[in-house]
Amino acid sequence: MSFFGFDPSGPKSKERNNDGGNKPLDFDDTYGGLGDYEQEEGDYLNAETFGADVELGNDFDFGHSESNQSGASATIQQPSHVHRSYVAAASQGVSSSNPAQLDTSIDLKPMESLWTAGEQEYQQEQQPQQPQVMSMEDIERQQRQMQMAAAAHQQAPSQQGFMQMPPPPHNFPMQGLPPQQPYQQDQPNSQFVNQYPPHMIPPPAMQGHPNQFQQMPPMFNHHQSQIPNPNQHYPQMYPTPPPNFQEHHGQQQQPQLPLQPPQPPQQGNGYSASPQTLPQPQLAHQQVSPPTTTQIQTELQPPAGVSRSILASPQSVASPRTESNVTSASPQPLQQEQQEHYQVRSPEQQLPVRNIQKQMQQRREPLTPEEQKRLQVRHAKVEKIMKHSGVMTPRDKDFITRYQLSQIVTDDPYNEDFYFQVYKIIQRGGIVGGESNKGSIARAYLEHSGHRLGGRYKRADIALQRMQSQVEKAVTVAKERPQKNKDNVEKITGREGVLGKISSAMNSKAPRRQLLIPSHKASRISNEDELQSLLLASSASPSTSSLDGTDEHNNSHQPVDAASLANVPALEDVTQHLGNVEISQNSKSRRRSSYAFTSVDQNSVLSRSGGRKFVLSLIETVYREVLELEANLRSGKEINNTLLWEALHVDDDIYEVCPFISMLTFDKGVKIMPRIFNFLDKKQKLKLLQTFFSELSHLNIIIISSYKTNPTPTDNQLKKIDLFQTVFLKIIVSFLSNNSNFIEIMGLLLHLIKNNNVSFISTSKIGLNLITVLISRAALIRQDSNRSNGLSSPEISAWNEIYDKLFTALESKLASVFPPQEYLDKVLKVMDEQQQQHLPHYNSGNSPSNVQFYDQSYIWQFLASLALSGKLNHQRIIIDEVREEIFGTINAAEELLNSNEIDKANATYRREKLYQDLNLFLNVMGLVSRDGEISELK
Amino acid sequence: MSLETPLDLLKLNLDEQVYVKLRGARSLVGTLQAFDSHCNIVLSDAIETIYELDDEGDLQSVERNSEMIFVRGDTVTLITTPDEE
Amino acid sequence: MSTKTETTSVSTQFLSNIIGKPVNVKLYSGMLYNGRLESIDGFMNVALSNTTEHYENSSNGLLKSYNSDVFLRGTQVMYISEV
Repeated sequence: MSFFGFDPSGPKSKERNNDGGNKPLDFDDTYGGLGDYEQEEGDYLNAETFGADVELGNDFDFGHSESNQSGASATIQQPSHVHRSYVAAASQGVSSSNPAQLDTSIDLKPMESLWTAGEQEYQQEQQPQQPQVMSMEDIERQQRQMQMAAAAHQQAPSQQGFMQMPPPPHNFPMQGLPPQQPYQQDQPNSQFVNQYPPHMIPPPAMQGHPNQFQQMPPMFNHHQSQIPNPNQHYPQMYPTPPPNFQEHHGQQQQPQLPLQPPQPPQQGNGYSASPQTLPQPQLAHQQVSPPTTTQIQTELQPPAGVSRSILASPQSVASPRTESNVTSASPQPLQQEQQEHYQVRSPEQQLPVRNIQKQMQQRREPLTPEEQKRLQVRHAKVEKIMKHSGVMTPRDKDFITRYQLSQIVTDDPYNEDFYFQVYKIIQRGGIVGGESNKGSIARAYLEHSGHRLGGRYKRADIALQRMQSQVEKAVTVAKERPQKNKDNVEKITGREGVLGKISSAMNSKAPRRQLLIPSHKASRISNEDELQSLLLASSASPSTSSLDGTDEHNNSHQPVDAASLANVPALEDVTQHLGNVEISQNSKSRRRSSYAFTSVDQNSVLSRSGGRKFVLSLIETVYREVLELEANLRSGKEINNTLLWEALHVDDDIYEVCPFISMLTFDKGVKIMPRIFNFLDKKQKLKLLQTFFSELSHLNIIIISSYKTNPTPTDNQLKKIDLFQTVFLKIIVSFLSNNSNFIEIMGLLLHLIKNNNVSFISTSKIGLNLITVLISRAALIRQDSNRSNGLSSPEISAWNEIYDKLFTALESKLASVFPPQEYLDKVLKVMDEQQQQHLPHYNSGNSPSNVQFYDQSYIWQFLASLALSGKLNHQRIIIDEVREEIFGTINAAEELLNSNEIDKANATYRREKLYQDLNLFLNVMGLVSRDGEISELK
Repeated sequence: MSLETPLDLLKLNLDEQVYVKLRGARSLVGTLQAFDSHCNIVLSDAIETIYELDDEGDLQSVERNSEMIFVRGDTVTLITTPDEE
Repeated sequence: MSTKTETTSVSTQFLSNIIGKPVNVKLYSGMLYNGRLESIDGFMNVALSNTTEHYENSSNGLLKSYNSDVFLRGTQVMYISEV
């Protein structure tokens, strides 16, 4: 024979075990005194499993008695050398030592009745086999069926079962054996012997591989199947065993090895049907070696030649003694290790073994009434469990588990909460609940949650989601107000209908203004104290803009720095800057030059911060430092980020453009940022972000993502924008929401406003998102503070001034935050092409559901945040300026309804999406748009 | 960051677009993922251009895209940054 | 430049001396590269800046000019000469 290419011309396999490679193999050499270890710790169930006084036998039958195997792999009988078996050792050990450890109160007596009585019931349950083994129950059913079949020595059904299963990675198919033959014990045995004589036991290290154990479970099943009476207790006892185990059972119904490590000899003991089939010495060998064989078979199966070479390797044949010595030198640890694996993986595996024993006992004793009672209870229990068994597939369960876990670990439970999301989607007014709208809600949810199926451009944009939820949260709070006002204030007339009317009505009453009035309560006392000290401090250093003594570079805009200096100096600095119209020389040139960056060529910026090579080498240095810090972190060493901070060149003002900003020009510079942030303290992070917001105009990504400077973005550039949003925007969002206070946010906003051309920045998607992040966060804090009265009046007035500045910068240019149609078309075209590339089978004509659309939600989020923070006159101006876009969006949505697009669902969805986005903004004003009309939010 | 050897300079281009000239009138443009001292390099999203002279003696070129490509060092002659589009 | 101190042979001295100078690098393929020698290592790997590409002879006309540094693989280098 030549399976695995084993050399058939070599010594006859029969002789191999005796004379293997000219060296007679003495069992004791390989046995290594396994049986001498009488004490089996932790195996206190042994007595229950095997009985303490079971008669030992050596009459194992691992195959069907009638099974005859023709062909090359003929039966090989192993001569028996030693008759003291591990079985004996184990059972003796148990009987002598274990009872002492047992708690007598625990009833360990096996319930023989249980193990067979359920049988009929399950036999009835059995149904024709279904090839698609999907659910647990299916697997179980199949399992039972096969056991039945085997027990009855009916080969046909079991064969059927096997054929349905995907062929597992074992060697028997290679032998060209019919599938039913696995049941014959001598075949696997001979396989094993042929292919891997016991004396060729590989080093123990290989045996520790977990994989091999996955191969083993089927063995038990196999053995089970040989027992005259079918064993069905196992599924009964454990209606839902681990899928792993089950699948192996189901799919690998093949004999690999005759015996398995945990209690192999015991098994033999249990069956004892036809004597002398398997002599003891071989057992001992196999206890140690099976895993290896299995492993090799499994891992090397695809290229059969590999295993061939291993198996036939002259070296391994030539030195069997050495190897076997290695193994036998440490049989006990191995054994333990294997057992451990077993126990961890599937404790249930012991069951079949136990069953056998119980079964045997059962045959001897009749049922006692007490046992019958217990049996009934058990039955009821099992029935209960079985009722819902199989309702969910393992995949379903996995999904639920992961879903639940994700809610535990998420930073943003609201965003992850399905019910909250759906509620929100309905609330927003875009979608009216109802049966017909379920599809839309689901899609909106998927879209929102960034689920792949939602069809959003590429992957989920977590940062944007968080920002979005931030805005939405703020809007939700704001939404509640008009209602309250309506109750308290006299009824505002003329709010419904036309936009203009509403604004004037709101203007006359100015209901929102009162929200800005701070109420003085206990929490403010400390703030006032700080204010006092602040005033003193500011008088000491009157005109310098930088109050934080730590910062040596008087960049004229360092309002917020050390958290240790408390918020107040920072606030004072902020307010001082407000009055200070003077803008630093640097930022002047920046403002002037921002439009000059008509070229998206990175080099124009790079050349002003030391050159491309310099910046790239900085990035390399930063990577090196980060790696070192990470290594230190892992090994528990002290973390000192000084070098990293220096490498970042954040406060390097030698160059016209800060090298740090230029680092963000490169993708790898962006990608490393989260890891950098892990090692920066709050002060450094703040400084970094200040620099970032100050030099926003120089940021390559802003230039790339602005439709003014880059009207025709390429696919690569869109990817860059995407990357920046996912990586850096996320950092900023989480920093703002976790670490920074109101004043710091104001400071960052001030940096942005003072040093950049805001209207230019607002034409870029990234820039607009950055502004949105800041003002929506500030709005949230103010809302929170309104409740707890946390903000002082200087803080609020400072905020109002900053907001005014921002608004002034944007005023009359608000409509330009909407990219022109040509730009959108261009982007869509690129996205489409890109999608075509990745999904070449999709043809845009055939799959209209994949028609891309430019997601403008970020713009409405910006406008919503802006309106949220503004007073009524601000809101009026905003509405005035974007009025056309509002109606344009509504028209577009209504057109979608009438359009004869092929994919109606897609059109409906897009319509809902447009309304949702728009309503986010309108809701701030207490309005909602639906079905082509704008009405008052109820 | 030492920039002493040519390979150090090459390191700066990691994760950046590079233009690689190969023997046999071939060139590659892709993102440099890795390289070693033999100039074995790994590029992602690479476009290979093969130049040929057709029967009339005109220069023709064929392009091939690969998501990830390993280039054995001995065919590499030159590495630089691609021209800006 | 990382020329080992003990190996002060004429060739290594030459190579370390021409760092930063304009050089011609000829490859076995016949391509000639003219540029400023940024660095060179023991494998004859060469980095040039402001590089122009010619065939065989620098008078043969400019084939291409490279804006960024050019890395030339040492095994392909036939010779390096100072211009």
